[in-house]
Amino acid sequence: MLDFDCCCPRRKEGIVLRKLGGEAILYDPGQKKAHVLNATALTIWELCSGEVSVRQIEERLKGDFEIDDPLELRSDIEETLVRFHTEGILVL
Amino acid sequence: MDSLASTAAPSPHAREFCVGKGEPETSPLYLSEPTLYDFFGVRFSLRSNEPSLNKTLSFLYRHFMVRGGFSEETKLPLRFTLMTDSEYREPSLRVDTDGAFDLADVLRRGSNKFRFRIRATPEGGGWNGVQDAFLSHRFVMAFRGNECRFHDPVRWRAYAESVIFHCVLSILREHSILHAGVVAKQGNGVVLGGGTNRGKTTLTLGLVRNGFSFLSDDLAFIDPRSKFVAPFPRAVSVHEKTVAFFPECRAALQTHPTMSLSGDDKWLVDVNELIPNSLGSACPVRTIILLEGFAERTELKPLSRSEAVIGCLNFAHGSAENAVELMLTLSDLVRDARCYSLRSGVLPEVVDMITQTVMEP
Repeated sequence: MLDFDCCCPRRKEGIVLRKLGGEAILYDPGQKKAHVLNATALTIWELCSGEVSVRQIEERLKGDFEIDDPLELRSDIEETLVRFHTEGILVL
Repeated sequence: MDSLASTAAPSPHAREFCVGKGEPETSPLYLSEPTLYDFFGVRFSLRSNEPSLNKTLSFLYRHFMVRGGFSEETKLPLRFTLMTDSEYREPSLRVDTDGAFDLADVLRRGSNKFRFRIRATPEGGGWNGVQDAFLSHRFVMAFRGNECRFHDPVRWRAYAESVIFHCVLSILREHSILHAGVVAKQGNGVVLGGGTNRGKTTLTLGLVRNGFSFLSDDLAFIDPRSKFVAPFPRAVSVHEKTVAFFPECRAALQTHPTMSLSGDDKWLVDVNELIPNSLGSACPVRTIILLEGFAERTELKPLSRSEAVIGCLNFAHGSAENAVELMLTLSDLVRDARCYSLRSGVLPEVVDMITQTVMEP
């Protein structure tokens, strides 16, 4: 079980990001795979520098987006990070 | 199980072919003068002792033929020599370049890598056999450096044409290429992206008949700098069933068919002959439509730009090495384009819907 509170997720090197309006595309040349990110996922991705904790990501999103349910936000962040990790583009 | 054992080794009876020796068109030894072509600045020549193949290629690529010739053929980056001599050996192709050229590399690139598998042959000698996944992994060709031999007695012309085409594409660096039909209306390009059997040719012809300009029915050549799509007016290969939609193609059925790589008979049609003055010129891409298959009623749904880029990547023609570059090019391309996914109903309905969509301000 991952301890997200202590975790500072880090983007894998070499992933190419292209922003398109509110969305973005990530392309992983190693796996030859592309991913579409919505605005929230893009913000999470950009914060995954390896120096920002999940708690700090959460605080940042609370400031940037209108959040109705903080608990759901935390769950969404974790889910997004796990998805990035599963796709092999993020180190947790 | 098919074997290369009896076919891949060069025959000891192999003879040299000479330009102008033997009787033109009748002797297996007669090698034609080179026909010269220009694909987006890549110039190449083709000589052959096979009149029917010469005729097919010169019709297929008539809009790319260079009249008058080059001053020095030896300076061309690619020089193809195709030889048949059924009495002694299989049809073969040689590619001459200024440097080393490995034909096997060409088959390892782009969509070819999904179809062809390269294997060392039992007799060695540097020959690599090529299995075709579409034909139960039968050995259909063999390569050694810049030489290629065709084992399939029925489809060999289609393989030869494909190898020549992909050799040229392999040194074409200036364009990103997608599997797509391309038409234009009032100078605005419409890219119809889709894989095999998604109806690119039929839809392209339908739109051209409805007043669009023709740029290509199969491949979109996109200039990464200008983001313009270039015309690729190769003759269109139509199935007999396509003629049901386009009675004006009937005359083509009077000619000899060519055999496609899938083994079907196809007839070549020059779109500009079919619909005079229909050839379009390079233009910006304003509409991207991804062909998703067929439905009872036509469905044209807007796509986000990101979805369009991902969709187009699926139809990319090219090697994985330039996938990043292609993704960046496509990302720029979709910024100024409206993007849709299409499930096609009957042709007139699809053509009307696309025409209406493209004409909307």
